[in-house]
Parts: sequence; C-alpha cells; structure tokens
Amino acid sequence: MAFSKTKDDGNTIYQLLAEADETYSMLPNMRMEIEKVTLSLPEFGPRKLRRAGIGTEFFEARAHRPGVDSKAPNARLSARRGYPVVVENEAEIRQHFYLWRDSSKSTNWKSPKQSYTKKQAEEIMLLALAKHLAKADELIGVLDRSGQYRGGKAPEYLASQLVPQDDVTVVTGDMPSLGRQLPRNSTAVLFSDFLMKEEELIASLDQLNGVGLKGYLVMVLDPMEIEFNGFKGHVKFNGLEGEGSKAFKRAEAMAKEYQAEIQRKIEFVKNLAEGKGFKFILQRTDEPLHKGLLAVYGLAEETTASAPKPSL
Amino acid sequence: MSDDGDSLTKKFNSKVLAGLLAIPAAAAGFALGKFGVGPLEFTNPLVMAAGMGALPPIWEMLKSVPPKPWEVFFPAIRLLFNLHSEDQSPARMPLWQRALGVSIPFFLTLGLAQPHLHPDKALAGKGPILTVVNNGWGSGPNWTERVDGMKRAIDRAEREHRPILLLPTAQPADGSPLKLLEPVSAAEARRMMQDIKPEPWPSDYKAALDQVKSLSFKEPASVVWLSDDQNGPGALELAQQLKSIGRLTVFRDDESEDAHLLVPPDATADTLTVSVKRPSAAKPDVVILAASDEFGKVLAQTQVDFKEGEKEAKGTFKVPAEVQNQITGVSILGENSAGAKIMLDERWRRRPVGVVNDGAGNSYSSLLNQSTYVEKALGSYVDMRQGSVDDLLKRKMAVMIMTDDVGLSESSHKKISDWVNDGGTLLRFAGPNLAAQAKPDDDLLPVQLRPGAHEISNQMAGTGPGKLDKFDPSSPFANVKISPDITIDKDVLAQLAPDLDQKTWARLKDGTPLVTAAQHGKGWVVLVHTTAGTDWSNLALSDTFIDMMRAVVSHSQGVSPTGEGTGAALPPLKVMDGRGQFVTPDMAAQPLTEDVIASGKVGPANPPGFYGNESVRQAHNLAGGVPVLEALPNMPNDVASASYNDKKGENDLTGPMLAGALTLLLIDLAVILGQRGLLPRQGGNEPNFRPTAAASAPPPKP
Repeated sequence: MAFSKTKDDGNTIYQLLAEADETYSMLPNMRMEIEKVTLSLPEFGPRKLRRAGIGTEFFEARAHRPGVDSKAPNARLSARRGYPVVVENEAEIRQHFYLWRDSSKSTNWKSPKQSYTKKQAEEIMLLALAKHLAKADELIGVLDRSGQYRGGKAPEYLASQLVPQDDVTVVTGDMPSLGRQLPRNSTAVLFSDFLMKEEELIASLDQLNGVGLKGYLVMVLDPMEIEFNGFKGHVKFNGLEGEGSKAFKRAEAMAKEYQAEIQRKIEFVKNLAEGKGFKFILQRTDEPLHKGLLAVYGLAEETTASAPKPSL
Repeated sequence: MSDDGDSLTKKFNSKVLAGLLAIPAAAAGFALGKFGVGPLEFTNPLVMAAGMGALPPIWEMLKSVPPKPWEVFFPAIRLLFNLHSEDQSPARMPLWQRALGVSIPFFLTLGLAQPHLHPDKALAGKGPILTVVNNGWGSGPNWTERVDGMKRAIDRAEREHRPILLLPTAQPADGSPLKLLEPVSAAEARRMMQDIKPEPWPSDYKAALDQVKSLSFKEPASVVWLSDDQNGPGALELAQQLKSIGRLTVFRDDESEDAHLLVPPDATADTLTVSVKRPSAAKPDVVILAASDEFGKVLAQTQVDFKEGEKEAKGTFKVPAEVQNQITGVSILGENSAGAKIMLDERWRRRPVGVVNDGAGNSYSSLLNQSTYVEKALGSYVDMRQGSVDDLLKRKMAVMIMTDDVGLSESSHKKISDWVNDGGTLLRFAGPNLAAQAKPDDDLLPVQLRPGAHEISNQMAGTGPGKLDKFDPSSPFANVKISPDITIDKDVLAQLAPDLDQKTWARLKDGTPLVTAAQHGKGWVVLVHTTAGTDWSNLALSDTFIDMMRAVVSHSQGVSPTGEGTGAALPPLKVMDGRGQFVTPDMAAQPLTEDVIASGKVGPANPPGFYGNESVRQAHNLAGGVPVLEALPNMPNDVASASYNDKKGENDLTGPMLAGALTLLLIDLAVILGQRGLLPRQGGNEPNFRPTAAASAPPPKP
C-alpha cells in the first residue's frame, strides 16, 4: 500500500486522513438525510430501507449495457422484453461515487494566514466524503483512476490512489481525463479551484456529461484569491504554471476590480455547472471544510461563500 | 528598471533644487561644527559642512529610487491579466524609508565630526600642555584616575593641536634617571602613557624639579599636575616652578582616598601589632588589615580605626602563636600600593630554637631521649630545629638547647662560646654526664658545679623529694604557675658563690638552685640543674616545664636583624611593584647590603620585597624609605586645584554616533532585504507563496 509521503507538499496520507476524520466528525450523523439524498438519486431505482421478512427480496430489471455491466443478462426477462435485461437485486444496487480533486500546481498554494493549501483542503474534503460514503456502503473510486472500493478501508484505498504514482500513465491534470468507462448516472464530485482556461473546463465537463456523469463541482478558493487583500505597494504576481507574470505599482488599488473579476469567474463556473447538470458549491479554505460537504448533501447553501467578505 | 530611469529624468529639476539647497545646508553644518550646539562641540567643522551639504541631494536621490517589487505567486494570475486600469503613478520610496536613508549619512557626519558632550574648558595658554603625574607608591591605589587624567590631557592637546609633555615623578624601575617624556604625536603620547606605572618608592620631586627647570617655552604652557597628595622634599618648589611656566592645575586625591602606609611591627613584641600611617588627619577613617601566609591565604583580619586628627593608628592581630608564626605579610584590604603591604621575615617569627643533636644515642623522637621532652614542650610555640652544632649555627637561632647526653668537641665548644658571647642563649640541662665531668672552668656553665649528683630524696637521711619554691619576682619565671606535684629526686649542686643568689632563677624549697643563669658576653647561659628527661625528676612532665621553657625563649634576644652578621649582600628574591603585587626583580634591583638595611632606603636598586636565598630571607619594607608621611601643603594662591572625583567630564560621542549610523544602516539593509522578499516575512515559509530559486523555475509541461 503506497501510503508514502506525497511528493509535492510533504503531507503524509496519514495526516490527510486524520484531517479528514476531523472534518468527517463535523458531519452530523444523518442517516435519514443521506437516505433522502440517495433516494432522490435518479436512474438506479429507488433505494429503500431493507424490509424485514424472508423471501421478499427486492430486485429490479434494467437494460443491459454492453461493456459496462459485468453481469450476464437475464435470459428469461430478456426474451420476454426483447432486449437484454439485467436483474439487480437490492444489495447490489449501490450508488457509484467518483471523486476527483485538482492536483495541478496552482492548487498547491495558500495565502500566509491559512492553514491549508487549496490542494490539502480538497484532499481533506474528498477523503471525508469518501469516509462518509463508505459508511453508507456506497461504491467509491477516483474518477480518473481504476478501481472501485467499498467498506471501511475504501477511503484509504482512495488516499493511496491520490498519491502520484510513477507507473500510472494517467496524469491527474487540470481536469480529469477519463481512462475508463463508468456506469451511467454515477455521481462525480470534483474538487478544484476551476481557475483553468474556460474552454478546458467546458470540454472536460462535456466529456463527463457525455458518459452520463452528474454530480457536484466544489470550487475551493483561498480567501486571498477571493478578496485580494494583503497585497500592498509594488507587487509582482507570478503564475504557478508558467502563465507569465504581472506587476502592479499599487496592488491594493486593484482589489475592487479583481473582486469583480473573481466574482465573474465564480458565476461563470456556476452557470456552466448548472447547465451541464452539476451542482455548484463554493468552499473557502478559511471556512470549516464540512460546510462544502454538507452542501453536497443539500444541507447547506451551495454558494454560501460566494460573496467576497467585506475587506477591512 | 526602465521606469527608474524615467523617474530620474523627471526628477532632474528637483535635483537642481537639491543641489542649491546643499549650499546653505553645508554652511549651517559648518556653523554647527564650529560653534557647537548647546553642550555639544565638534572637532571637525569641515566634515560637518561636507556631510550636511550632502544630505539634500541624498534625499532627492532616495526619492527617485523605487522600491523593488515584492514578488509573489498567485494562482488566479489569469484573472489579473484581465485587469487594465493600472495605477500609472510611479512607485516612490515611502517617506519613512527616505528619512531612514538620509539619517544614515546624517549620523555618519555627526560621528566623523567627533562631537563632545560637555567639553572641558579650553586649557589656558597656547604653548605645550605639561602633565606631571605622580607615580610614586602613593599613586597606586587610584592609579586609574591618574591614567584617566593623562588620557584627557592628551585628548585635549590633540584637539587643540598643542604639544604634550609627560613628566612622571618617580624614578623608573630600570634605575635610569627620571626624565621628561616628549612625544611627537598624541598616538605616541598614549603609548608612552602605557609605560608609566606606579613605582614602589616615593616620588622624587627634586629630580622632577630639575627637569622642569630646564624647560622654557615661547608661549605660556598649561600645566596639569596629577598628584597623589604626598608631600616630599621639593614638592612646593616644584609647584612654584611649574607655576612659572604656565597656568598650573593640581589634581589631588580626596582625603579618604589617600594612600596608607603600613609600618612593620616591633620585632621584639610578643603580639603582632602593625601601625598604619596616613598623610592627612582631617577625617576619621577605617582600614582593614589582613595577615596572610606565604601562599597568600588570609590568616587573620583586624580593623584599624583612625580618629579625627590621628595620623597613625595601630591594629593588633589576636592570633595564637602557631598561626602568628605563619604570617609572612600584612596588607590593607582593597588598597593596591606598595605602602599598603608589609613583609615579615624571621625577625617577626617565633624565635628559632636549636636542639643540639650529635647523632649518637640522641636520635630524634625517642622517649628515652632527653631532648624529646624539650621538643614536646616547645614544639608548637617555636621554630624548632635540631642538628649538630655546626649545622645549627649556620642559621639564625635565638636559643640553643643542649641536653646532658650530648658530647661536645673542643671546636664545637669554642663555636658555642662565641655564639653566646655574640648574643645567643644557651639552655643546658644537667645529668649524669655533667655531674661526672663538670670542669670548674667550663665557660658554658653559669655557675661552678660541685662534682657528682645530689640525691635529694634520701631515705637514709629521711628527706623526701625536692619541691619547687616560689619564683622570685625578678626571675624570668615569675609569672609561671608551679604545679604542686613536681618532685625533684636528683640534681647537681652549685658551688657556693657570692653571686649565686643573683644567678638563680628557680630554686627548691631547701634553697638549692634548680635553674641558674649568667650573662656571657652579650648572651646568656642557662642551666637547669636536673635532667631534661624523667631520670632525675618529673619536672619535664608538668605544665610548669612548658611555661619555663617558653620563658627562657622569651628571655632570649631573638635573632639579629641582619643576615648572619657576615656582611654578605642578599640578592632580591621577589619584589613588589607599585600596585603591591610581587614580581620578579628588575635588572636594576641590587642585592640588599647591611648599609641599605640600616638606612631603610627604597628605590629602583632596592625595591621593597624579600631578599636572600633558600635559607635566609630578609624583608625590605617601604616604610623605612618614607621618613615622613604628610599631605601636600596648600598650594600658592594662583594655582587651581581640582579633584579626581569631579566626574562631570566631557563625553566623546564619536563612538555612539558611528554606532547609530551603523545600526540605521543595518535596519535599512533589513528593510531592503524585506522588500526584496529575502527576509522571512509574512508568508515566508508558505509553499509556493513567494518565488525562491527552486520554485521560480517554470514547471514542466505535462
């Protein structure tokens, strides 16, 4: 198990898991709500509480998807309906969650007063969500990696997948590139700052949409990126991914204009997400990380943090 | 940095203005330097002018130097590219930073102009500055004050561009004659000043006067006399002479700081009483005396109180005789001078006692040995030696003890006889040998003896053992308590003679003498008519015996103050310097001759200290070379007098100003480093927040 030190920021997976535990513990024990959420999830049929009694196992027949379903079609039902039908019983119908976080260079950044980089915040939220999902016995996986996991160890398997591995050809880039086919209507949860080029974002969301994925875009931003405070005087800004640099003689004078710009960006991502069937959630790294996760469950306002805080 | 060039051009006009401003600034600087500000005075007005003149251009220059941008990483850089309404006003160094930048040359200028706070009044006259510094023994305790005085005089001379002359008043330790020091520069004067140190002998005002008499200046000099407040032959004449060549200021110690002089104790006294002298008797004073042994360990302390009007006081060390014997020096605590320390040699020690030991049947510490009882009785009170007659006579000795079991050769007999005639005390004990061999004409006996031993305790005759009678009040034993259980069984009897009664120091109840003594030449011969052991009596076992032995030793004359009386000169062993520290003797130190001992003279040839060799040690103290100790008399009317304690001296601020400039420079450096992001500041340890050498490289394209 590659629970080794991550190469880029010196945080071990164990530390991340510990942070994730903390965030997870902030989530209320909300079995009913989760049930509600899962009930409302489409396509894979209504998920109900297991009924008591013998011989009343619930099952559902659905169309067979070649190349996706590992199960053989049910011959009798297929013959009756005229197309291949797979029979799923209750226990096997699990919601598939595919999680992803942006690990590009620009996320490996934090402003001086924050305790997490954006990447760390993303990973903590991802693992906390994974933990919660694993407890609800869902199937979880990393979006652009292989494998699906369930059970108590699932978050740790996920964590090991987040560690950059040299032998894996797929590079987690600015946006996930799918190296595999996923069950339709799986839920994708993407954690990123979404500051990449707009066309890249659009293309990527289109691709996810194309394979039938829907879910959540969690935009993780540093407060300094939202409010542009703390810069004073002659400041030269450099991009982290070789985008170039720009200097301002009086950086503090640019705050208003920048805030409008970032607000426009947030609106853009939000509109884009909603247009593609994703829910948009904004998470600031100076706010409790479980707020964003609660929003995933629909228990909190998705864009609570969208407005810039009044600067001092 | 192209915009920097632009702003430089834009600032050209203001630069011209700054250049124009420089002229009045320089003038103001010169005026400040020339005339000073309040208590401040500057040595180099030209430096002030140049520095102040440079400040306006520096101010203008700093104004146009933009600060280096603070470089940071920012992930949302793409959004920044969209911003257009950039503030086009040129970056300027903030006001506080400019003030900081200008204050560096400002303080540097102040420092280089050598400011002095509360400067001394300018010295009178235009000629050289003559500094007479007392460096006799009295200058030891407050030597730093004198060094300080010399430094100030040299500084003053340097500032006023006047020649400086230094005149120490004590003869140098190398024995060369006293001479005037005429350094060519202030630096050389400071070097010469280091070589002047307090000497352990008195100042020689006459020699100093001779030096001053040969001086003549074109212009009136100013004279500073850093005195140690000790009068001496020629002191007043010296003052008169100094007054004649220029304005004279005499620095005097406060009375409480005057050097004290210790006088060696009386060698014949039983207790160690040291007198302390002081030059002035105006105020009460207290000094603490410490007596120390050869290794400097303090054995006893005593306090000496001077009452008002007293120039001499005494301190007595109340120590047991054993401890007193280890004392080799007495010093005044906390006073570093040759006068505050005296050395004690054997003259002040227990009287040395020699026990004749001829090596045959007289081995040391045997209980059968007669001398054992004497040694036990005296051992802890006196410096006891034993050996053959020849050995014993090699060193000074107060009392020689000869028991009955010692045989004497003719030559030894003669030597002892001579020694007694010279002042020694011979204590003999009777016994079988003496009873058998006593010659009528033995000159080492106080009385003529009847041959044979006299048995006092005779059962046939019905007489008991002899008892000691009360001592005569005139006897040396008068104060000795007689133990009642002393019994004398046998003794030797003296021939009846008219003077027998006078010669008898102790007698038995029946009237027969037990101890007789007679003067032989300068010395004494004492005979105890019974044995030193227990053969004939139990006297040796009693306390009375101890007291009697001590009384005999006290009665002796002690040892003569000169070494052996042979007239040989004693080479210096270790001598004192002017601060009262022992040093190895200088080349100029000569052996101590009897003449010097007699005169007590102290000088470069005979500095105070210990003289002698392994066996003989002679202390030569300063007190003998200081016949009178008194304070300097009142000076003539037109002589200014000053006190060393007048601390309201000038303060050279050069150091603090330069230090201030350096501090500001460091602060400025830190500010600049901070602005360039080279110092740990807010966000300094954040990953990727600030570019570092490694982080600023462009990332590899995936």
